[in-house]
Amino acid sequence: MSKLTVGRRSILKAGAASLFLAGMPTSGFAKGKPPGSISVIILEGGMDGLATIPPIGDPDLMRMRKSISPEGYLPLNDFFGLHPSLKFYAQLMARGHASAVHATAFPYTKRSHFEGQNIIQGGGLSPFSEKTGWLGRALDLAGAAGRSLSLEMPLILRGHHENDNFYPASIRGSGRPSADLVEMIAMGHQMDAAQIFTKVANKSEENVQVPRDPASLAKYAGQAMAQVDGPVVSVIRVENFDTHANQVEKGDTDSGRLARQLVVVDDVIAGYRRGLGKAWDDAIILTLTEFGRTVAVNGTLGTEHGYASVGLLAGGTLSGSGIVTDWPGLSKKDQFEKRDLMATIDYRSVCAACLEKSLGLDHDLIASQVFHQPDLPRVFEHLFA
Amino acid sequence: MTQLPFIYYYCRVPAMLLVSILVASLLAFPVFAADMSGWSDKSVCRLVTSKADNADYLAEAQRRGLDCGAGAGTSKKKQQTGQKLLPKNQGIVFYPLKLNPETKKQLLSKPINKTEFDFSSYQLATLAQPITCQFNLRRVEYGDDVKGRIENWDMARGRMLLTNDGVKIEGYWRMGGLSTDPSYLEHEVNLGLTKAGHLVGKMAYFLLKVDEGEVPEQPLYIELKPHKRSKPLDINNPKQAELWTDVEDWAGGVWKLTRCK
Repeated sequence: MSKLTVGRRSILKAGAASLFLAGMPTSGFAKGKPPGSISVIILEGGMDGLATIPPIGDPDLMRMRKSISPEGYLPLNDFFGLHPSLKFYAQLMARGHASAVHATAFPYTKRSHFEGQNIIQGGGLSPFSEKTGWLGRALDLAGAAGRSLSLEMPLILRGHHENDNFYPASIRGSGRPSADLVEMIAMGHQMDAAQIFTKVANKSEENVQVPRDPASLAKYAGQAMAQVDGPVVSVIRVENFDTHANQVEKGDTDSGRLARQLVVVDDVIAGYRRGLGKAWDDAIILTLTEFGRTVAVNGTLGTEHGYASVGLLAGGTLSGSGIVTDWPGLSKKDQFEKRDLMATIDYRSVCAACLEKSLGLDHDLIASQVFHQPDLPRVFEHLFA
Repeated sequence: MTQLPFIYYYCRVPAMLLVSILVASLLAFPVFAADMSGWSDKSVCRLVTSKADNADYLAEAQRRGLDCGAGAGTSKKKQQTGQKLLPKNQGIVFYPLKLNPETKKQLLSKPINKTEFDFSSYQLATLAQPITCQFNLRRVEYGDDVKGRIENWDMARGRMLLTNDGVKIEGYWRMGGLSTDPSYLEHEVNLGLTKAGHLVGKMAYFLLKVDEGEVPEQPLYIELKPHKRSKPLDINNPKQAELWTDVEDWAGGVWKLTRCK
């Protein structure tokens, strides 16, 4: 019988998502378990916030973006709509469990993917200035850093403590390595190395079989986080938001590359919701993207790298549903460098509010020791109060 | 030759220059019209009232939130759309959700279904009585041959019940992994039969086989459409059919319906 198991497409698809869990100590939390959990969905490529949450109350939107603005948007209020791909997110909004922050960005304006992704994970003021990530530093402060599951550790989770991550391998039998073999290897090592191999031996007995698509990984992460002494942090990466061409399909602004990727985001959030169960009440999920897209449309029904975008938040800890913004306007004179949506809210403040809520850390501590900016504005009351 | 007045020589050049400037100003007016940031609200309203069909003036008035009187185009437009203007630079504002009550009710009651499908673009068959067929589904691979090679093994097999309410499948996938869960064929199939004898709609579909110990794969949610290579079912004399479907660029599937009655 002919079959295809590992092909180019499978490998490409496999690269579309990774899951990282952290803050799951083997011997209890150093400072008691934090009050909630925080999950980050990194949207790589630069998500177009103006299409995801179209500011329908701004007359310049349709004048400048008619060819790519979704026609089938859900009107959230008089001023903002929601992309039709975000169906589950719409349901969460109706339940008061989702909000978005608009016209927001990390303080980075150079429009490079590499630098931007480094900034949003490192949380520094300049690219490659941080060797640890803002989430990892926050975990250190919360005393929650410890064991987790992983092969490769993303910058955002790197702190001073040991972490690892989880990713389902698709090589036959790799999910169940020989416990005897691993134990023998562990005996050949000492101290930390021996502990790592012991951990691998324990993990091999778990026999976890999880599909590797982002939604399944999110559900798995949610289930792990819902357990007593489970991890308090998870990170999932979703790629392909760099919509230079065919952001929408010609003649159908509700379809196209962005619409497909937003379905993935919607599925990830739905996966978290299902996996978290009752732990949803103490959870916060937020998206990160390195930058937004230009206000103007290019010649291939796409957009170029821009500045501000939108941050999607979901979870039972939110105080209600709505859009948080200091709207800068879309007219040419209101745009950043006459091309991009201006950022009026520092997204680090949003991250700080989520850390404050989920890890129980003081804002001033987060501002000074996680983001190294003591005067970072506090936006907590706009989201959680 | 008549002598021209002295003043003509001294005024001709400046007069021509003045006329040129006036003409150039009139020509350039539409270009400058787009940037009205320096104009007063009163000026904008006056232009809106006098030229109610000018989109730039209307947009500028809307942007400023001006109500230029009942006769002005902005007022009419506001009445038509009910749209309010998004205020700028107000500091951080929380714009709460204000969903239409009917929409909110739908959102709260309706589960998200990946097989949701709008059949209105198809003429569905009206059957005098249900049709039952045996079926098997085989993969078509386009890697070596653009026409496709039908692989000699069944991805799924079973019985298909075609009714006016839709298509019900009693069968099983043979792709391992999550496909062994019978609920995918029971609950994640939303198909209809067209008058022309094609299957249309959406369903969960397992394209890749997963062996014991391998990482399982979520199904694809594909749309079945009439395919030019299909041999559709004759709904008046149903016997057999061969229905092709495209799934990905490298592979599709062929449904073989047999022993229909």
